[in-house]
Amino acid sequence: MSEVRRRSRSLRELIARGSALLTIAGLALGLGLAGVGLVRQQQLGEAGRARLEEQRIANDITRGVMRQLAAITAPDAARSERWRAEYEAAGRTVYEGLRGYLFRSLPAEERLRIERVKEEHLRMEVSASRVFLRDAQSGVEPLAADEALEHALSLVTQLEAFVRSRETELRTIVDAQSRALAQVAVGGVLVLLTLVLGQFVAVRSLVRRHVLAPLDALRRATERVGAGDLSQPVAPSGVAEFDAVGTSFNRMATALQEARTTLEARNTELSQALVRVRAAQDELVESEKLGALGRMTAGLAHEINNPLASVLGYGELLTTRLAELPVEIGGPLRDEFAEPIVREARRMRLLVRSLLQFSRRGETQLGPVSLPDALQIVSELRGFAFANAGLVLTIAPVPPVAVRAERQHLQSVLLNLVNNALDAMKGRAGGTLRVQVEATDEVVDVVFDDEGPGLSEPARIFEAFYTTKGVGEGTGLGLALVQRFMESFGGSITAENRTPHGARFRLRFVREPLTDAASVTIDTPSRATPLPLRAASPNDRILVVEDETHLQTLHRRLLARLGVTPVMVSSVSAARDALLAGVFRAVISDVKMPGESGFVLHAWVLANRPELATRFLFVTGQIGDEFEDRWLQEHGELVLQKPFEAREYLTRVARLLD
Amino acid sequence: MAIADVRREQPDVRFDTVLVESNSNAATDAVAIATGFLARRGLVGVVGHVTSSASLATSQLYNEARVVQLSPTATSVLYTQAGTYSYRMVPPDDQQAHFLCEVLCQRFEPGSRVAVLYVNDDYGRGLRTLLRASLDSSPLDVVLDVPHAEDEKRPEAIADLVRAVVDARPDVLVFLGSSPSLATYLPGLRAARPTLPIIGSDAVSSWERTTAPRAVWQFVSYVDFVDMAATPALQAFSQRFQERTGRVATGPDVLTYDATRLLLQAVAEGAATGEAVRAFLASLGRERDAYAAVSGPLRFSPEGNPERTFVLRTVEAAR
Repeated sequence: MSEVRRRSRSLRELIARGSALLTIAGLALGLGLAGVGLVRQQQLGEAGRARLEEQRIANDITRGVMRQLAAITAPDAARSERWRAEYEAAGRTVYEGLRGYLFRSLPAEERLRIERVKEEHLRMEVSASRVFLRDAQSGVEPLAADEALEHALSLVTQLEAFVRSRETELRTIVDAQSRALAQVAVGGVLVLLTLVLGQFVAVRSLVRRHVLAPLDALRRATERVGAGDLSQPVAPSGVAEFDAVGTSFNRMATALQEARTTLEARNTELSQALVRVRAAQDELVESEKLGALGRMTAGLAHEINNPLASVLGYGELLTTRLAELPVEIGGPLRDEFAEPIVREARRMRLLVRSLLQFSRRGETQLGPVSLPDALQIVSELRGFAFANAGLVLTIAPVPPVAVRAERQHLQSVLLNLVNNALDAMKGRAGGTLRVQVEATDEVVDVVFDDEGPGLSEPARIFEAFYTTKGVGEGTGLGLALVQRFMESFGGSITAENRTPHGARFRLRFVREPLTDAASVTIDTPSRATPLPLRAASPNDRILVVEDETHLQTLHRRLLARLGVTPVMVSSVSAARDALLAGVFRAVISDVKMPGESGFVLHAWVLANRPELATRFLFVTGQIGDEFEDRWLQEHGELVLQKPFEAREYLTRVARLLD
Repeated sequence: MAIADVRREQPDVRFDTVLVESNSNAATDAVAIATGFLARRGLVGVVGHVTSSASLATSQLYNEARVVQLSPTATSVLYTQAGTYSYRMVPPDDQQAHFLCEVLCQRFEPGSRVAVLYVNDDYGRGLRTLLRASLDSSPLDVVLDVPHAEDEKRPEAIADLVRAVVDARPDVLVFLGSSPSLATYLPGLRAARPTLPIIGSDAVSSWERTTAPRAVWQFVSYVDFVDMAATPALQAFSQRFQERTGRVATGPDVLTYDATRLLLQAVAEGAATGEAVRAFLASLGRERDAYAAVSGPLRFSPEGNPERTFVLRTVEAAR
């Protein structure tokens, strides 16, 4: 570690090295002490051997001198060659002994002593030679012998002194060696103690530095990790084992950090997913709410549309009949009774259709829609209402742009906002709704600025069933539908209050290339236009399949204006029988009926009366069934929705007959 | 004289010398003197001692102190074994003994009677042993072989020895000892045997410094290491020596002179320790040229012995 590293050392290696070092130190100490002891012992041995050798030499000298003395004191010494030879041999022994001292390492005083011994010996020999000479000349020479004896005694004394001195020196050496050995022993013990102490300190330092410190670092790192701090890795300790643990720990911390990062990312994703799920849940709840509403609406529509179709149809018939009467007779009746019936029936129809549209969440056909046309229709539809209420609807010049939308839904959006403004500004004479279009290459904004009281809760206005209108004036679905439609267009809607008062709605559409986008068309009842009539053609028989009798009556009365003969049946099976039994110009059929549905009949017609395939008209109230809705949407030219207006009904039927 | 010459010739050489003159040939006195020398710091060499006994007795002290001992006249064979710091200016006694034996055999008829008086010290005993070994294998007859003490002063002892020589009736007396010792015996000997040829060992070479009358020295020959008239240098030295001391220069004189100058030359060439001086002496005739001593070119064998020859000198009759 760097490489560390400064190079990391294995704890095992450190311990091995430390043990080896201590062992080597111990061995070195032991060997040193043993060496010192051996040297001392060797010195002592050499000194002892030297002294023994010196003692031996001294003994030889003494023995030689004694033999020389014995030779010269023999009674026949002068005449005996034997004693002379003995004397000579002993003299050589003594001399050789003294020569033995010559090159030995002696202190000056010892050497002096030996030289004195030598002198005594040479004098003794000189005196002894006189003994032999005198004996040879004139007999025994007692004085010379005495001299020789004196020299011999002096020699022995000197020699003894020398030996004693050497013995004393030997003892001194022995004592010194003993002291030295004792000192070595004491020193060895002290050094051993020092070594043990040093070993203790070294081991303590080793453990503290190479074991405790890394462990403490690991502990602190563990605590940091436990506290959530993964940013500080364990620093290399220089001990391989702990570095390996530290590396693993750091890897673990890194992995934890990555896992935590991943977890946080996942958490964020989960939070976002949760938001989305909650949104989806809200949407689901909303959807469920709307689904329930749709189902309820479908049921209601089914139940309402048929009577409403009767009301509207009869109302229009009544209005037409009254219009055909003299004005003084039919006019008041029409204005006071028939027109309100038709108007309210139409309003009811609008409500039902709105409910059905709101509850329908099927796919819509998006495409370029001409915005100027759509706004023109709105203006035409609601301009009178604004003027009637003393209000002003101003649409600024609209550039020729197309937006991505579904035509009907777009019309609903625009009408909804205009109607809302109309309702908001009621009672405010001169209140103006200004509509202007702002187009860029990418988007097209349509801004509605009214001069009403403004929005009390801008954040809630797009909630379903939220309304500030009075009871019976609003469904609370209009703006929610608007928002849904805008979102389905890929656009958006925002709302805000204006200063000093009034509200602003901004619709943002995706801009589309301007093509021959179909214009928004809406049937507008005209009081001035009478219901279509057709010359009677009794042979033109039309088969009407309707299970409700009052609707059969309505069909009959309306078809009477076209001069055709309706044949009423209440079921699909009866219709098949009628078609098999007779000839018909067209078929008008309800969809939802007891038993088989109108689709079955249409299929049967396609198979058995193909000539009637293009003269088949479904008159049905939308009930929210997906299959039926999709079928009816795909075959729009075959469908007339209940409740229908009499003019529309007659126009469509007339188109079948033509 | 050597010191004075070096100071004059080489004034830049710094050295310190101690001169000790002792009339004693006793080894005990030499040991005392050597001990005094060795007590001085910076001692690198000693010229001395004169006799073999003194040189041998002190050699071990100098060797242990790593001080070069250059003896001018120690001839004992034992000195060869004294140690690596022991050098001498003369050859060992085995060569002198052989030389003496040859001289005796040349000068005296076979069967001639030879009396041997030897000083009973390392020098005398060693030389006597070697000489006896040579004479015993020669046609000469050793009729007397007795020791004497170096400093014998007792008349009866001197008389006993003279009488023993006279009684032995030798044709020649070989005296292995110093000239002062010989001087104590010569009067008695000349009284009994006025013309008895006496051949002395090298220690007799300083006979002129004895107090004995010159007449008694007639018929005395002795071994010497240097022929003082052999070379102009020796002649010049002899002249200067005599002018300076009033004495006739002998072999030991010139050898002592040469030994002193040789050690001072080692110091002059940078030898500051005994080891360096020893290395200097060992290098002569090898890494260095042989030293040009007055007595002749000088080099040493590994044992510290020089290559020299002997000459036999005879005391001239009194004029």
